[in-house]
Amino acid sequence: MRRKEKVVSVAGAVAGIRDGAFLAIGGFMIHNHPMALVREIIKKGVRDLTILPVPPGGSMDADLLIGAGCVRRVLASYVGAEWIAPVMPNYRQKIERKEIEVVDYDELTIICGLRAAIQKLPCEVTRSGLGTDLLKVNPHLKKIKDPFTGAELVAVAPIKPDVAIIHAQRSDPYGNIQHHGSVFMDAFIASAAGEVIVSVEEVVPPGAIIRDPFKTTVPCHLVSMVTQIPFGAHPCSSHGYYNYDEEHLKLYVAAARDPGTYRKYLDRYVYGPEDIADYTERVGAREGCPANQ
Amino acid sequence: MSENSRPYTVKELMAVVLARELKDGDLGEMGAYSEIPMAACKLAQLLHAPNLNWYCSATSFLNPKGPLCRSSTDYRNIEGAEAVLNMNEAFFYAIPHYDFFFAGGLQVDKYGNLNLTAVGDYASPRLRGPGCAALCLLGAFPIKYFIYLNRHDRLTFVEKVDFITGAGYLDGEGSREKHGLPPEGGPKLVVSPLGIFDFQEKTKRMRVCSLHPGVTVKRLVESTGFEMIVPERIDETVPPAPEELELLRTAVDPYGVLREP
Repeated sequence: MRRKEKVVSVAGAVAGIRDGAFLAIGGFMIHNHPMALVREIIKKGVRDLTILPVPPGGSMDADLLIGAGCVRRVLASYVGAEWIAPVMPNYRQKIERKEIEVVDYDELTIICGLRAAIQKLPCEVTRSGLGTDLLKVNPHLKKIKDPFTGAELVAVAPIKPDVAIIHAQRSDPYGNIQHHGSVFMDAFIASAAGEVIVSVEEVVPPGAIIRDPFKTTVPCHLVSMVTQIPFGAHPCSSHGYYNYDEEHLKLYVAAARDPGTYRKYLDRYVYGPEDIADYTERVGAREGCPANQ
Repeated sequence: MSENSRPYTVKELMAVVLARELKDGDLGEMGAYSEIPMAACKLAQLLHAPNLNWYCSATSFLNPKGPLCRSSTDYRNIEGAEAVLNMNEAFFYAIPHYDFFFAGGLQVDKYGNLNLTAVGDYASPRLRGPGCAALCLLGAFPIKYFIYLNRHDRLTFVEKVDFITGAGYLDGEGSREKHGLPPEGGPKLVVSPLGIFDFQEKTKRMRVCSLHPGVTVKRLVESTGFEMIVPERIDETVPPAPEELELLRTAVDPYGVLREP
């Protein structure tokens, strides 16, 4: 018997993502999001997703899925792109128009929920949320009394995603993942989720990983599938490979102003490209996606 | 006129003001959209707080030393960093030990409560914000934190926030204790483009500490949606000294992030 290799095609990577799935998305803000996988999920026509842009926050990853009509519910601690768009446009509009449901959490309560799921505990406790209106609007957070001191605490119910999608920099064929820069919460959601799909800039031979196992950020036993997508995080940065494409992010935000321009954006950059090479051509990445200094 | 002899911008003023507040030996962090607090930390380390330690938001790079970036999560912040924590480590190795944090919001009220979630009715908001971010847990910490805001107007400084995301002093004296929150927590200062504000010890109401050069009480009152405590004698915010500005522009922010509109 041979050791199983986990490298699949891009289409194969998203084949198992079904309507109604609970999807956690790795990366943070405008960095390291699995944007190519997000576009592939949209092209597949998946609907009614519950999405968890992972703390501390998501941006275009969540907003693109929401804008394309794939999302029914979002568990949110933060969906924004700093100075480019303090709150993402489709996320904002669709919540205001009640076209999608938002379940508000803060960063720590999401982490507590994931930790409860990972440890198979019925809850994890924190003080986060006490005194705020978060407790009034989120039924998965309940005030309890500590059994030792009687102090008031917040119990958080488990958060268990069906699938996690992540973008990292390297993997071997068995799914040992190495991030070049920040891991953010990628390893964490890999542990919490049922299926874990990772796109990487490069698939490297096992020897390259073994040379420095300290750099492995997500061990292979947590990973279900790996697919190679260079520029797979664009227009977000891929730490150590390329920086964020501010011009394209601004273009996206501007396109979300009305349905007509947004449809044009989706046609050109999501539904239109045949593959990643076609996509990078369209966004002008071949002429020089800004590299990290 | 050379770059360095141009007048300071409001962002530069706010960075210098915050830098002065940071103490040598303290440990802390800021959130996203935070070029001003990042500059403040770097400047403080160069001026009076060489033993200050700070983490770059979420990337959790410790003590970056490169030029100021717009994004605290930009990979280029790795330059000169001494350690990197992942988010899980940050929550358990770093955040519990913080002496300071910087927070912002869509709204702040007279008791320093912050709203980053929704303006208007939560179920049908006029303006949906990005989310709670780290503000809920910040309100639950036993540390005083800084609030910095890029706007000072009646939409931002309100009588009562529409949604409490970050618990400041809630309803005033005694409320933190009533809700099980550490009384030693809460906001210490608010820094806005108009001035610096703190909180009266007993009532916990927001109070003028100083107004920036050129800002009148009339303008403050017109721009604030609640009655702020205005002392009889109001100090003027000490503007950046030439040495502070020089260091800011050469060593901290050579690319002029704080001088962009």
